[in-house]
Amino acid sequence: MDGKRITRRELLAGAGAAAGVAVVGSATVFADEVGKEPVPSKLVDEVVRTTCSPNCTGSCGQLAFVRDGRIVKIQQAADYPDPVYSPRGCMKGLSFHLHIYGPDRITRPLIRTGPRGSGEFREATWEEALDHVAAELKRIGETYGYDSIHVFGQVPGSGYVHKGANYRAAAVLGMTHGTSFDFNGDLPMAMPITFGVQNAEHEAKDWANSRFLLIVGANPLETRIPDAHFIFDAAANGARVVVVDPVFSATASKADTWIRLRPGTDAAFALGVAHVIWREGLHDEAFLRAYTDGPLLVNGRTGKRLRWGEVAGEGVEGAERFVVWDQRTEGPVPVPLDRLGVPEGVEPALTGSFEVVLGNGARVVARPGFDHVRAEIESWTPERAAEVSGADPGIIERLALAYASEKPAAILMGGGSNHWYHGDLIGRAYALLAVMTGNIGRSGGGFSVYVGQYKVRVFTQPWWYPDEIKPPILSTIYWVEGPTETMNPAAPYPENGFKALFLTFSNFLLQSPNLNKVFERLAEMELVVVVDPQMTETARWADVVLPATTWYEKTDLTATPLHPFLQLQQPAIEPVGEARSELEIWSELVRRIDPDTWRRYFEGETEESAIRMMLAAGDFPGGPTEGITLEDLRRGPVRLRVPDPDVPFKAQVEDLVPFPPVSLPAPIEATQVFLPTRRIELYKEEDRFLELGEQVATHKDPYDDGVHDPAEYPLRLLSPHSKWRIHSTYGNNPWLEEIHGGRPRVLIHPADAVARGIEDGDEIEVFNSRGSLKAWAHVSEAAAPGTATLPEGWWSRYFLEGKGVNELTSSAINPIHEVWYVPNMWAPSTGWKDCRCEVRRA
Amino acid sequence: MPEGTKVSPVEALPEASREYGAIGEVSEEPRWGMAIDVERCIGCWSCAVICKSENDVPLGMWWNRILTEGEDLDTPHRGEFGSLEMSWVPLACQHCDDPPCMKVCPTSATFVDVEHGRLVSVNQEDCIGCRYCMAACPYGVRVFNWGEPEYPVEDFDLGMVEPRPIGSVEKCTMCVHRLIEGQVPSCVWSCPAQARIFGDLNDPDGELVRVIEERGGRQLLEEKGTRPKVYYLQERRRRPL
Repeated sequence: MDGKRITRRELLAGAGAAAGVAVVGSATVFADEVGKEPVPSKLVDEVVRTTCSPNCTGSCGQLAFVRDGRIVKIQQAADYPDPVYSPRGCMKGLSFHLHIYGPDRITRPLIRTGPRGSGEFREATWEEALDHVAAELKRIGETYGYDSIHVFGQVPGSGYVHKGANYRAAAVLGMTHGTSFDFNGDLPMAMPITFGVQNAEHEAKDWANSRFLLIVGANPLETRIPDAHFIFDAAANGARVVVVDPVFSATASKADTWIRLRPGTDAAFALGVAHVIWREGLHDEAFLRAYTDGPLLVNGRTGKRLRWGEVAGEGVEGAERFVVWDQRTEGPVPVPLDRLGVPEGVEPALTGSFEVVLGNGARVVARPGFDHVRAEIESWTPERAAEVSGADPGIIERLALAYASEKPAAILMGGGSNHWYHGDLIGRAYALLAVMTGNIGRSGGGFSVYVGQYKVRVFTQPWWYPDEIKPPILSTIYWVEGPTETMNPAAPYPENGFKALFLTFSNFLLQSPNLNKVFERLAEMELVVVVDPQMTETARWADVVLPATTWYEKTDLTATPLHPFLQLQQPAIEPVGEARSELEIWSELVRRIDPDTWRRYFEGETEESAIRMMLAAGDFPGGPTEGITLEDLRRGPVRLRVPDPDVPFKAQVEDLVPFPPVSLPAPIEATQVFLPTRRIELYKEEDRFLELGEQVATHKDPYDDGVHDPAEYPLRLLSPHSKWRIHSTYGNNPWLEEIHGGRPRVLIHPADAVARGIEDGDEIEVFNSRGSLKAWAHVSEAAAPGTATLPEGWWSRYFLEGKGVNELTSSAINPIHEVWYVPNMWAPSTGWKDCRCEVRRA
Repeated sequence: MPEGTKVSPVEALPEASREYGAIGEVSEEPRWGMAIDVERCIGCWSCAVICKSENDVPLGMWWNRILTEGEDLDTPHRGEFGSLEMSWVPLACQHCDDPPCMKVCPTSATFVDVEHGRLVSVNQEDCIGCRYCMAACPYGVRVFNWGEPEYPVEDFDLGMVEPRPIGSVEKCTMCVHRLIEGQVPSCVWSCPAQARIFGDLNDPDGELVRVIEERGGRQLLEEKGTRPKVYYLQERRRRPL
């Protein structure tokens, strides 16, 4: 309170006394009210511009209204230089101050006194907590090797400085850093397989430039709230919107057509669509020839592509080049690797079977890569696709005709389609549609997967990897599963296994797949440290809890895949209690563990110095941060130096630059190996693809069908994102709880409910061989028959029993994801939705 | 953090933000109104949450809320497979030109503020808590402050206005405290779907009047003769495959 409150009575002095005379229904009374001046807004100390960035990909500019040193309101900044992006920000971000000051906020370091998970802690000074953690890290590092310490922070893209501090500390001490993008199941493996990139999506405003939006396994109206309006903008511009989802979602409700699929059958569905496009001749032959491996000949005997050296004899110039069949000269011709397109005067065949005489005199039958695709899609008649997917064959026909003719057409894919063991095949099948119709590299088109705030959009290397020292980076799924037989040898699994877990901003023990296995691993840890602003389920299991500052209490640098603005987080308030940032914590720990290393890599480093370091690294002609300074960012969001609109693969399609473009922070050499042809690859020739019959996109039944007998576990358990939370963040928000009621409910179809004697609101148990939980039934026609849907992220405290949906989910690793190993780029991607279960009354 | 001097939150806004929220040109005697695009509403409750935050509305009370047509919050729908539907209606005070709540108020606490865009306003200190207005309002948008208000954060004041006295009726003020400083209501500012258009119903050239005419804006319970100043723009026509 500012102590100068002006009362209404004071304001009304001399004028308001007449107000009590009511003349009901008469207009004359109104005049009597003149003079009752409304009171203006209460005063504030200041308004601070910052960025909201939980793990949602929003990166929404927010204003913190500060009075007496505390945040009294959060509202969108709405200051984007490109006004279509304003206001950005949802009801969750607008209520974050309830967490800053909420009852679950941790304000002092805590050291465990009871058994793990008991929630029994004592408060400690920072000095004591840091000494203790440093001594333990040092003991474990010196006993087992520092690589036995697993450091895990969620979504580095949401905070390059502080999440980068994790990397920096891991690098200089040699600790293993885990991964989030692949572990979160968000890495769309179809992207590295097909396009050679980690991921590449159109910026959200480009949706409005589409004539056709095909939204698959995604519910952007609930999970991409700041960008949802671009879908309406597209519709207002005349676009058609088609939504493919097993559940009748908010997004489905706004579509021109909603198509219900059986979960996990998207690949069959998409191949049926491809079948019709091919049958009707609506594919773009020129695009397939110029930009894809479609015309490259594949040796019928080996399944590998022919190299020019095999045809023209070893030692020939450019022996490593690939070969097409020229229909004019009826012979093999090499194509360049350093440029896309078709060599002058050559008419490469896309289909057919050709006898090629090799340099050694042998004759082989070879087929263009696309001929393998053709054979696959010809087998997927709409009737067959319908039988597997449950979609109507007529809808498949009509979708194919509309998608292939209403251009540009965009495919927006989400976690519902990606979060499967065979999510790569699903993604490849949808990508095939975009590639076949030439909808790549064009504004309003594309195949974009919006899951995860993975994107490193600036040159983080000097901050994350000082002196080019990189920590061993291991996909965190291996922390859960241990090294698999098929694990790529490049994956740095520590010699002595893992002995410590250091978590920052991660509700790891609620939000990891296959929780019961995770807890088995946890028992092997000699040290568990949790850095978090709130007493989460995970913090309860820690040995030491270190109170972290929220993004309203520190400085950081953020970006997102959804829009191309670089933004700062700026402190609006002093840290609450004794909270500290990750950088402060790591600096203190490293100083205690190894003073020399600290002096070299942490002493004197600040948030500002880290930001300047990263901006400078990308400040060169054509660099992402060319000409961008910290001072610019203090004034507001700055568009990164990317094309407008930001459309991936533009340089490839317009300037014939070979695939793939770079995926930061990996050097191009690391990801180029994914695409030996330097073209969009619809055909994969690596041994494991051949062994598993996944050379081209195909449909395979979900993996868990082989784990859980469908007769015994007839329901598929889906765990989508909830609009009321960002994963588990906001799960304890009192305003939002008033809206949603705070009761986890499992959505099931009336037919499935009747068969089990379950009524709406009943207490039920959801179970499989991995685990079980108890919650409440929600019986509704919105559910797909044969499914149980429980949004992930509910805090354990809201359940009748159990920790939540991840008691049941699977941590299985697909060996295709191990063909190469580049963490977060070609690595095992978790199949959250690939999970069977049964439901009964509790 | 600067000590001492306090400023208006509007003055303290970054320039670009202030421009975003500025009320544009209006007529000489503005009549404040709003259009809500039901097509664009995604039922996210951002407008309701910022209302609660802006106006320091206690737990258990909402001045602005989102009605879900159908059975349920998260899966609001009607019909069976093949004809499922869902939609939302954001609902707060309609600021009627002929408000039934005002007519029944024995103390004239509720009045039409002719000086401020003909908003329906409540002089909180004249409210005696009889709640006739709540019974009279056909929209059910008034809430009653029964007792000591509860807040999620206990020990300091949230929001931008003073809390109301115990035992008085509260409702949407159209953020009049913002209007007098030239800024749109907070629900309009904060709608991420850009579904709310605020303006002057007396300005025939303004965007609000134009969009209501073009899109065929409808008033809720038009037949009651309350003449609301909030209009609802209807959903687009679908083009199924």
